[in-house]
Amino acid sequence: MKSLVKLLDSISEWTGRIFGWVIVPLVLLTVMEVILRRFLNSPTIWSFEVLKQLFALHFMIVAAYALLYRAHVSVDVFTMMLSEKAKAVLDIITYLIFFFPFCLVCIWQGYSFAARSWAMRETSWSVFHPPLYPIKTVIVITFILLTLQGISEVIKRVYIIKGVKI
Amino acid sequence: SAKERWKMTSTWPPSISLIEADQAFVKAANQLCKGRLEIKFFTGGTLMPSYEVFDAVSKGTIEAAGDWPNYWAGKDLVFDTLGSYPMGLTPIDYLLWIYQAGGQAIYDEAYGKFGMVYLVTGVTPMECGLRGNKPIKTLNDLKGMKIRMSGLHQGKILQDLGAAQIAMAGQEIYQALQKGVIDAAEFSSPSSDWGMGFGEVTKYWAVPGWHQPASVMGVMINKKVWDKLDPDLQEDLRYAAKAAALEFTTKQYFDTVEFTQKFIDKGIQITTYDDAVLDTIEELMVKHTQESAKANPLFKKSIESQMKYRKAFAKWREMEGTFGFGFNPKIDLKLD
Amino acid sequence: MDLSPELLTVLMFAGLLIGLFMGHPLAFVLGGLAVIFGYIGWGPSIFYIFMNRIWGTMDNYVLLAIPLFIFMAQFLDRSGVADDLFTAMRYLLGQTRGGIGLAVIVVCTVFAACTGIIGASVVTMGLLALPMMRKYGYDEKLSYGAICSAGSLGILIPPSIMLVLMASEATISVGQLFAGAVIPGLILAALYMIYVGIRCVINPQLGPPISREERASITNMQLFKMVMKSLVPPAILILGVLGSIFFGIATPTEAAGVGAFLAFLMVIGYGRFTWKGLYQAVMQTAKTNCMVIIILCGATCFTGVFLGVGGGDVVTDFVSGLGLGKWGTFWVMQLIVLVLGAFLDWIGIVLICFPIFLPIAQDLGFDLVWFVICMAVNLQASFVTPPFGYALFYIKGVDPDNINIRDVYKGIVPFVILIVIGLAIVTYFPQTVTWLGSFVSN
Ligand code: NA
Ligand code: NA
Repeated sequence: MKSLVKLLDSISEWTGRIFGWVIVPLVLLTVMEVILRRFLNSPTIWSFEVLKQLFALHFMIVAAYALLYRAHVSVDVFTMMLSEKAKAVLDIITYLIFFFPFCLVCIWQGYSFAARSWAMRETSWSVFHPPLYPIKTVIVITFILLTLQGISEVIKRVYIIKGVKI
Repeated sequence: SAKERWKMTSTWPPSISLIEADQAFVKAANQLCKGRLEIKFFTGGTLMPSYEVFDAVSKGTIEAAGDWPNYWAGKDLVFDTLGSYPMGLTPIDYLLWIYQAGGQAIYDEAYGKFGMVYLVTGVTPMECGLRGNKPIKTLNDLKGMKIRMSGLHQGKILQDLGAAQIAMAGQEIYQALQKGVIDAAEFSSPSSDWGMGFGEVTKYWAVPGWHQPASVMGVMINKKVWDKLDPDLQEDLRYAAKAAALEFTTKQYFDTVEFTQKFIDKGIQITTYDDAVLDTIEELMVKHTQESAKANPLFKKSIESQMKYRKAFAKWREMEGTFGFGFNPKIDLKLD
Repeated sequence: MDLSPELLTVLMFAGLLIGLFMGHPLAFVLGGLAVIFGYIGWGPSIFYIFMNRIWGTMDNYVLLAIPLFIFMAQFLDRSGVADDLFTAMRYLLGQTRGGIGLAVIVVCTVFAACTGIIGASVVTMGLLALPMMRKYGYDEKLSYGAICSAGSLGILIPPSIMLVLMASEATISVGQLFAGAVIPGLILAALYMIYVGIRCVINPQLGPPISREERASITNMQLFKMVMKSLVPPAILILGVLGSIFFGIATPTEAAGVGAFLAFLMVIGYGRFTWKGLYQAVMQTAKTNCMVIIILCGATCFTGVFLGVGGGDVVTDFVSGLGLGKWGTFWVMQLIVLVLGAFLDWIGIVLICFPIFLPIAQDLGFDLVWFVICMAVNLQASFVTPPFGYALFYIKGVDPDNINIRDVYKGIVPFVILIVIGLAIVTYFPQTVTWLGSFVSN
């Protein structure tokens, strides 16, 4: 089980380390478009939609990485008073009530959402008309990654309850 | 049989007057189908983002939603001909084509591909056209301009004219015009344009709105849900849509009077394109339409049907002359 | 199960409270509740709406400003600009009673005009000012209150990711909102300063001035140079971001990218560029941005279900059923926002309240830009009201062992009252919102 935790954590770690860098092209493309339009009078027809897709990719795909680093905000005013083990029990309960149902529903629906888009080879409605199906598939991938990291988090809590260090 | 309950939404938030087409339809439908069907209406943006209503009705998440067909051109190019087309059908043309000249069949086929039926609930007049801070009359004026205009064929035409199509979110247009990030923008009807505050940040208004001479509004209904209905009830819903179409179309048309006057009072200069501009744009439209027709058979079928209607109607249109849609009397008739 | 919309509304908020208090991340509490109540109140077919709504969040160009502003804040943090500015301000204002408190508010306000997120300023001020305030015997509660509330101004004074999101949700112009929020933001800053000043004049124990000796350690000329030098970088950023908007070089969204790029150049200019620093800025941006926008995804699912099962009508009927007239209704809506602010973050509140309140406000004949700004001013309180307040989380995070959260709660009470006073000023003097807007648009 410990090696499973390690594996799951490293998947999240590496998606974060790789896709976190999407912010760099986001900045550069934005600045490039400003310069091209304002100073060279030759705006592109593609940067608007490329930026939108990169933005979507950037925040979605790192969700599991953020979960690994506990970057998602929560209220700890009350759980602060609990013991480590009690907190772990409570965490497992909340993962089962809130987290996994949400993620599983989003995987199930996300698959069908992406499949419909692939089936019609959906594009946007513009001169550039890039395909939308790859970026729509990111939803289902994100929630699969989140589910995997969620499993790792739950296993970690089980070890805390058992009093085993990992 | 038990009473049907539907949920319906729209592409339009309450702040955009186009929502009145859906509201008129819901009101008429609930009135006509009392005791047999009740439609609960959610304004655009409450259940899902505007651009997602197509998918939701097609999937059957909700039973119905109001729309403007061109939004779905990325799903099938034929939709680009069903809500409006550059240099294409006018409001009256669309109504004649849909109800009398085979148009409805094209809508049924297009929406049918995605498991839906379609009832038209109204048409709006020509969209305003370009607003900016320089007068636009000639092809030369358009060259090098940065223009916010939506649409695929429209964008291709702008490119050919040497202008740049700038994509930008609706909420950014006001400031982009004000600060000169873009040179001109088209948005929607006089009332919507006024609501967006464009009267405050532009001086010129170039007409006609060749990019969108009319807009068709309608309601998409999930086909499985539709097929389950009594033929009687289906018929009543068709009547409701027609009643809405009359109410909405006349209201939208008449609203142009009030809001155009507001722009004039604010000191906005209205300019008209030279004939050469519209001729060139028509040539470009033909070129790009031919390309698209090659790529998509249903698109081709729709344009063919529209062109057949236009040809059939040409003689009568010519005979009508200015009586076709009324004309401004030359003499100010005084009765007192 | 066939539950009434009223019961579902109550249960959804009760579930939200319980879920939050159990310490689970807000985004997934919201998402999980959407699953549970969507299933009960509508049926599994509603789940597809989650995709439509999450995709709507992904396909939103205006929101692109959020990661760009966060990235900019990361560089600003790393360039050490805040340290210099704060040191200068401390010498400048330190001799007056409560001077360091005033310096904190001034620096936060300058910062607020540079960046659009609150995390950066609360944490920075917490790290820099708090030890100093302790050293000079400042009252802990007053220090917490000043840092938390002034540190939250960044999200009200433009550029602001909150105004960006509000513009997107209300379909009104970002530029008009930016112009409208400047004066209300400054009014709040002024109220905070007046309050800190008065308290310290009445009771010097709360904020003793720095000693003559320390002030004498540098000459007036040195101080002048220090102030000028420390003001240059923020000035460049303000000019870069707001200037590129003002001169029509960029849209507000693009201006965020310009700001991030300038801040990056600034780090290089200050000789503080390292690859490790860039890596950390990139990763921190990914985490913070994801945190903000994933809440948006959870909240949008929750809201979709809430409205889908008829919760919107319940609230609308409740508000209009009170029969309180135009202004009574206005204040009830503001009260609801204030109370929700204790439990939810601003994103959730905007997503839940806008579709319900904006039509009501429109019916009552209120100007939408002004109404949205009133909501924005009110939402300042949401950052500092317990149990859920970002500023509270951040200040606690600065020094978890030595900060008693109860002192923080006590310290922010007067500032919440000041925010309500600020809201009243903006409400009854709508010129505070419209004046700059009309100036900008003519
Ligand atoms: Na700000
Ligand atoms: Na709060």
